[in-house]
Amino acid sequence: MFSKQVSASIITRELTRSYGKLVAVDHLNLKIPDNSLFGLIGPNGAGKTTTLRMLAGLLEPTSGEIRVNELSAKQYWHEIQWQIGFMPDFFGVYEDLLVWEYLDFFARCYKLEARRRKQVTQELLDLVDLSEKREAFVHTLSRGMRQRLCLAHALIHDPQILLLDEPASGLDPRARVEMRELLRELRNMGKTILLSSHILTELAELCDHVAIMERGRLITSAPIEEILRRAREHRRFTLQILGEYSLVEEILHKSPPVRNITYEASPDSRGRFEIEFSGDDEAAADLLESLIARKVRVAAFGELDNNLEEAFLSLTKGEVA
Amino acid sequence: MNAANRWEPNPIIVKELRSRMRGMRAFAILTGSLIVMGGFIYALFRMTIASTQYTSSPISPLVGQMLFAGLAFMELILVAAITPSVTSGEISGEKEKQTYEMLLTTPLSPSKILWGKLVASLSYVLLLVFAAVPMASLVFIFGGVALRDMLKTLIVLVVVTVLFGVIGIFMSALFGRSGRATVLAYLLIAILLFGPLFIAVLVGVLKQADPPYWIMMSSPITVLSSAFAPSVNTQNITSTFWMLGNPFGWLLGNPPISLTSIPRPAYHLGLPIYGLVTIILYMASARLVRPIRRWRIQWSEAALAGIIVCSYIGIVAMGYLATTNRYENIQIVSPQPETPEGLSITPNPVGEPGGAPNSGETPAAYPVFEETPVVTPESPYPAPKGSDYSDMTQVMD
Repeated sequence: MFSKQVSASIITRELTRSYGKLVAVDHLNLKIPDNSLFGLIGPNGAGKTTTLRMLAGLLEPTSGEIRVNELSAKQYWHEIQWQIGFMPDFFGVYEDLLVWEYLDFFARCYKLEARRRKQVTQELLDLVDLSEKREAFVHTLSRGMRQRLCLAHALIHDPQILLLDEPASGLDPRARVEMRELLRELRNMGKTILLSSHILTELAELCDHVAIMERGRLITSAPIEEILRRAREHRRFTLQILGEYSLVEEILHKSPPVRNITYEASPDSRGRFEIEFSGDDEAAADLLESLIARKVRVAAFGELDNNLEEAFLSLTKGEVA
Repeated sequence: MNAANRWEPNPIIVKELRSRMRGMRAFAILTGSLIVMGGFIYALFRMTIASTQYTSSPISPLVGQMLFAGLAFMELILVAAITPSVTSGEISGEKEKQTYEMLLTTPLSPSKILWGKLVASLSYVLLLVFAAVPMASLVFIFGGVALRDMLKTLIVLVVVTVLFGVIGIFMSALFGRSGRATVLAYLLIAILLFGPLFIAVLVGVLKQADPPYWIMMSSPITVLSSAFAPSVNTQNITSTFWMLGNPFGWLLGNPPISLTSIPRPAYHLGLPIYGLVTIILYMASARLVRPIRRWRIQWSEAALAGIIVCSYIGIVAMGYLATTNRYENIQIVSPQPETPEGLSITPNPVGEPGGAPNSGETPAAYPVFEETPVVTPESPYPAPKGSDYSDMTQVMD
């Protein structure tokens, strides 16, 4: 779709992982372009974490292969390891360690020499805005700070690829914004970032590529603009009327952007329609206008919570089943 | 990558020591254990003085021996009590705290993680052991224990500590849950310590006779006793702990002399076995800590493991061969060796349970044939301890 001209830094081919009978990841073909912010979206249990863990070398694929920068992960893992930073979705911190010691420990794991270690630790603390907490115990940090510290640990060896599993989960809106800024900054530093989330809107303003997974399968993988465009074609409106519903039904059926309607009668003779709608705001206004022109008494008309990914999933339901 | 060739300490060790030795806890435990041990030693001292006030033998070496034996057993108990609690959370704790995966994504190899964990936790336990060494030097004030035996005792303690530590780490790697790992490590260590003694008692009760000594050979208690047995006069311990006297005498006493050789002390058998178990458990743990491809063993790894085990067995065998002359192949002097039909073994005077260690068992002094009753020496009980020992160092080790 998109990666003909862009060089891909991670490619998976027919990647499969099963736990006994349960297939967590099912023949996944992903291409993650170089220097992109790539979002992996899907509901819980879609196989996002399994995929990321396989990419991080923590799980062995049942079948299929992973290539990182053209190198097969199976053969060249020890080289690839130096280019990947991984931040798991659930992670712990060591009790009784100071923040700088925590980073120093991972720097030692990556065999940085003493002087470099000191420098990198300080730089990373500045980057994730934890310099003031340098001498604090790790377990006294807040959730957001821990998340940033964990991100700093993943960056300690200056990897080219970052794998972040739900980096924004459990963060308050402010911390979320900070995390987003941080990821943008990292992307501008030339890193390839692959992150997972179950909320499309969260990724929409951040990522430039998105892959949607469900039940272990890839539903689609495309640049974010395309995903948004396709999702926008699929809106849901609610319409509450007073009086007879058959007329309204007729009008709705005639209107071209309306794809599907469901009617719900309530005891006090107020009907509620749920309209699946694939037009822009202009078309919605037109629809309302035509209803009012026919003397329909509209009590309420509005767009339902635009849950992009749910809309998208229902749009692509046919492909999964 | 930018891995320098310079030597850097294992990161795990640095981290573990940093977090473990921080704050009061580590030092409080150290101080507490030393206070407990000191109190125990003082009680033992008073007890020995009280129980020996009417004896005619010189008291000072007796006190020394008593204190030393007490300290050695106390250390063993301390090590058995502390080691599993320190080591059995090492791998599973990382898994529970969800930090293990972060470790595994670093280039730090799982075997290096294991090694670092083992060294860090054992160094803490060994710190407790070695902190008691100055207390053991108290024994020198009283005398009665040879330096050689103290060193042997210390070696046994260190080997047993390493074994306990590896048992804990193995359980930790096997179960991945600290609670279960700790319980099973304690259970296994308790079985190792007391199981053989229990079986021996059971056999003894059922057969209404002294059970064979080899049943207890695998217990660290027996091994430890055998390491300092040459220095410690069993009789005095027996008389001090008059209720527990028999078991103690039995533990410290050496097995009866055999037909052709002086028996090796229990630690000759125990230490190599512990070493082998340690190596095997360590290698199994090194597989268990791997995230993937756990049991897909490449032939080169299998070969390496085989070489390590074989060379270890080889080294032990060479040690055995080198000491053969002291224990086996000892000529049993007999004036009439040409009449072997009437052979029968004398009941051994020193082999009685609760008897003195096989002091003065210079082979030449020990003809065991019935035909030469004259040569049977008198009971060695009255022989003074110090002179016994000086004889024995040439013979036994």
